[in-house]
Amino acid sequence: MFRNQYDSDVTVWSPQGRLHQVEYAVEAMKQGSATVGIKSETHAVIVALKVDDFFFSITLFFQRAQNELSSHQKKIYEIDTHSGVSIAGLLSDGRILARFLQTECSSWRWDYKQPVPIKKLAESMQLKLQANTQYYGRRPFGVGILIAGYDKDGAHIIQTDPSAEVVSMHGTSIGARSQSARTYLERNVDKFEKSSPEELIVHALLALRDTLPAEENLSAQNTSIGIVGKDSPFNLLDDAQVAVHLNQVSTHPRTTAGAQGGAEPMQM
Amino acid sequence: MNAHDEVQRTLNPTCTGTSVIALQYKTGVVVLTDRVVSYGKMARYKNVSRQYKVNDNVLIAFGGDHADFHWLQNVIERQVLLWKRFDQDIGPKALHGYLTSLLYARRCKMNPIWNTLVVAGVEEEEKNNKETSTPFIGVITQKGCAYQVKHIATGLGAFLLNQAVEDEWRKKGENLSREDAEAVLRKSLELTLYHDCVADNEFEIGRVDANEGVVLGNEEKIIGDWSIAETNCQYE
Repeated sequence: MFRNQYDSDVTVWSPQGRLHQVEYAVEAMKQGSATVGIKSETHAVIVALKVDDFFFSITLFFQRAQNELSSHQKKIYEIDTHSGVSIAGLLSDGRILARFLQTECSSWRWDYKQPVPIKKLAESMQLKLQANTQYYGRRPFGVGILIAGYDKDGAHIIQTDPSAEVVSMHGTSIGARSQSARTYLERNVDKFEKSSPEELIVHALLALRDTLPAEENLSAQNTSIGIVGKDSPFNLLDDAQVAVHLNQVSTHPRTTAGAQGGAEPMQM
Repeated sequence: MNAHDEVQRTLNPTCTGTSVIALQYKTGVVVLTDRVVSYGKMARYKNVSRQYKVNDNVLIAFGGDHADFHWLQNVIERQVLLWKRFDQDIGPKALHGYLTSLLYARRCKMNPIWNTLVVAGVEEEEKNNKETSTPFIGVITQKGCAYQVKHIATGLGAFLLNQAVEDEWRKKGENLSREDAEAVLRKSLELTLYHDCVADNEFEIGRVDANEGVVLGNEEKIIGDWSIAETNCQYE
């Protein structure tokens, strides 16, 4: 998309009925490293690619440099014992939203002495994101979030993006090259409902692996896993704990290489 | 605040209700209240219900200022609607928690909601599974002191009845049937009738049951045994 006279601030409509600033914010989300979320009847899983780099030039084309000096960025946050989020895009914006959700959870518990319904979290996010798309002088959050949660209504995966679209999903992926992951999810969607937590994690990691270019691979350092479910408080896995699940994944041959797309369905 | 401004906080209650007695049984909770609202010691308004149905799982009864409770009903209704936005029916524990925060906050501002509230209901532990529901009684005083109990008597009933109800409870405990529980309540009411000058003999027993939902009570009357009057005070 090209610059035009209707994209200077978020309060200006284009003649085609579009808000360009919001669309540009969605682009920022699409540049972030990928994350995948899937739910079964009893659990919700989110996995994310952590990158060990930093933006050294903020232009329209973000440039990244792999940097051995920096640690991997934290992409998954625990929100409460029954939910967690993963973020893709401007991670600093994402942290603000994660903290907002944490305070929503905690203030609900203060009043009602029980965990917040995930639908309420989704509604609060929706209002917070939408506000930044309608007032002069504010900018949309440049980040997409996947909320994983478990409440009385079962497991939830909620996808949000800078346009304030907040949607409940069976499985989804956002971030760079996430279309490959979504293709994997679409092909295997019938398997998720009855999957065990371990199987669900493997599905999510396989979907995440499809977003990587051929020469790269999932590793214990660049992958985070979050899982929550029935009788199972939110648990964030990093490093050694991730390696255990990656061993399962490596038994599945890779038939897609990022940009090439088009995967054969994985035989589980 | 100017010394000439009117006082903008509650100093004392106006029209009041007296004791509330509530008791858990196997599948729910029964609540007894009389049907009079007093203006000081005068029995001013009769045929008044002191119980309010929140939804199919929760019933709330009050003692204390009637106007404050009437206002509280609107606040509760707004909470019910808020939860409905998430396709949920507010449960007794959540409502109890919310009202606790509310009453405590008001007491901290030295402007209390002058009520003792009894939140009675059935708490759903698992969605759509009545087998696992548990009965709930939560009490909140006007100072914001809140606690959960298996049975309670508030107001003057606290002095007169808690032991009597406790004795009955110890006999059968959680295995009380609804009829047993109601019998205990009716026996308790007699005591307040003899000793509480703002109690009345017309009463209602409401219940929340896991299988039936909330069933508000019909008016009932009790006479009591006044034969003591003949020996007591030159009564002919």
